[in-house]
Amino acid sequence: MANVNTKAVSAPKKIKKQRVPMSLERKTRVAGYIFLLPWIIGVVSFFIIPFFTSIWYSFSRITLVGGLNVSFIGLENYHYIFLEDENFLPNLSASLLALLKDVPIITIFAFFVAIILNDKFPGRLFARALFFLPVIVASSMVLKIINEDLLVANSMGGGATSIFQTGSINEFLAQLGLPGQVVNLFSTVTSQVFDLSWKAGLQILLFLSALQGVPASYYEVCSIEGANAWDSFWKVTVPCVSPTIFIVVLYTVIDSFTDMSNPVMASIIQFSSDTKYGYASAEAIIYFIIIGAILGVLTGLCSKLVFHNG
Amino acid sequence: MFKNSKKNQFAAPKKQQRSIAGTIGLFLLLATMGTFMAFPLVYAISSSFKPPEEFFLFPPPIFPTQPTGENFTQLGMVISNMWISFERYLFNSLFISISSTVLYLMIAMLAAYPLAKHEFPGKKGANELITLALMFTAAVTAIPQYIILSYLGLVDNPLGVLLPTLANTMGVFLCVQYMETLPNAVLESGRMDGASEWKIWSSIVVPNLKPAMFTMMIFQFQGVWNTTGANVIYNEAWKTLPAAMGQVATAGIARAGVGSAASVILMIPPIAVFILSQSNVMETMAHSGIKD
Repeated sequence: MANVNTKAVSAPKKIKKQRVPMSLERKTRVAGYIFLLPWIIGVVSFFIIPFFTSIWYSFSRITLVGGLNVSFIGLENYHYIFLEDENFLPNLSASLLALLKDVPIITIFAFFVAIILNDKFPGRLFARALFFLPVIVASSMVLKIINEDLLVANSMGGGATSIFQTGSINEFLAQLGLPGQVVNLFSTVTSQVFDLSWKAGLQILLFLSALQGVPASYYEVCSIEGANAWDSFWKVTVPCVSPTIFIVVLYTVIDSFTDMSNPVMASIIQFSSDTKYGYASAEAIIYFIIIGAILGVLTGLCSKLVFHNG
Repeated sequence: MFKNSKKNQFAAPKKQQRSIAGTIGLFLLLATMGTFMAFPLVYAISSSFKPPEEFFLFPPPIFPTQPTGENFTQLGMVISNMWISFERYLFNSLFISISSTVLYLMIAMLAAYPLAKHEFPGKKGANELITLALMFTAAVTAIPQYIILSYLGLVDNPLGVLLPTLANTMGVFLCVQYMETLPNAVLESGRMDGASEWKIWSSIVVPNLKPAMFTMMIFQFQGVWNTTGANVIYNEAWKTLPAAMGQVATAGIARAGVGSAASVILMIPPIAVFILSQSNVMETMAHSGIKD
């Protein structure tokens, strides 16, 4: 990384020194570095430096008495997280389980919805806007206010999804004479679908644009050859969209891991707000390494399965 | 390639001939999911018109039986009693959101071009860095970020809210993904005609990145609009609208009506941005006209 940075910084100077006209290749490269420069400055100052500072903090004891005091204590924070903090391992396994459940469901759901929305039907634009709505409103102060002040006050649950699990709807169904198990099943399923549909907005959009990138001529070939919709789905749509499937899986894994409601994330935030920055940093670094390992395995698997067009 | 399908002579040749039952089924499915999507929004809006008594009803009614504008009047009263005027909060928020969105679009689209299409040492590393930055939790970088901001003298300064939002990696990630679908031949043809890299970027790359650009625009605006900046800004005069509204709304159940009125007002700008840009997002690549 440092390599790219120094080159990007020194590139403009080289232009001045050089009197002879540059080769096209060289010009392109220099222009590329200049294009990258603003982003690199941002990433270095607001990601790389904070990232390494976090690593340093994870080996330190941090107190806020009379300013920020940082003293090196070696592996003590890690020791605490792994051996003394009894919440860490259960939280971690809960996060991993949530991931195993979320990623396939969200990916398939988003793909499915995108395929429907890609068809022509009256009111398509409205339907698309509706499915993109959560992206606009979610994770915002609005949602926070809705959750904290409206739903919590009303239903004593935690979060927008709880409205489907609380009495009102269940009572209504029970009054209709449905047995208890059916009612429970209904409320669980609805709250899951609800949760899911709110997490899949961006994924639907990614799939939608990928589907529109599939050349229409491929489908024409299919129908000439006499393939039915099922065949053309598996033999054209899936291979052509496979790079996007990979991106969606990648994004969903990251999104599921960094979701604020994720138990590990919640405990990191809790440590931070208790000013236990050392524990927070150590837990974040451990978590980061685990996510990295999972993404590494996924990338390895997917690079073999993904079909590259042209 | 389609050995199996040849047996099935009666298969519909293309999607257009879906049966009526299938269409109705799909419509019902979409309608059900659409209801789930729209529910919280509808609920928030309808709540903002509920009179105070109806907040204590159980089960909570979805629509108010006696709609009233009282919550908005009350919100107006609370706002007019604040130290700083509503317009000032609105200006702060709009200023930070709009400038961040515009600058960020430039930065991300500039960076995405070489990251997707150029060959240079460190390219692979830079692309991996994007994924790494997406992964690493903001909750932890917040502390060192604050230290950097204070070192730069940007604490209690709107730039302290603005600058970190420019280092967001989500948009660069999106742009690079879109860029990779752009055929190299188009860029080559530009080079052959003697266009400079800047020219190629501005007349080939940017127009083709339009769908990604509008998606990013919605995300960035939405994200920045909702930042309270509470950890960086202490001066009331530079606080953002969500921070002010948050203060109004977190006063407990007695203020639930005012809170929902505040949340409805906060939703307006992101939804406006969405409506303005949606045709571009929704049609995505359909009009780019470039096919391999």
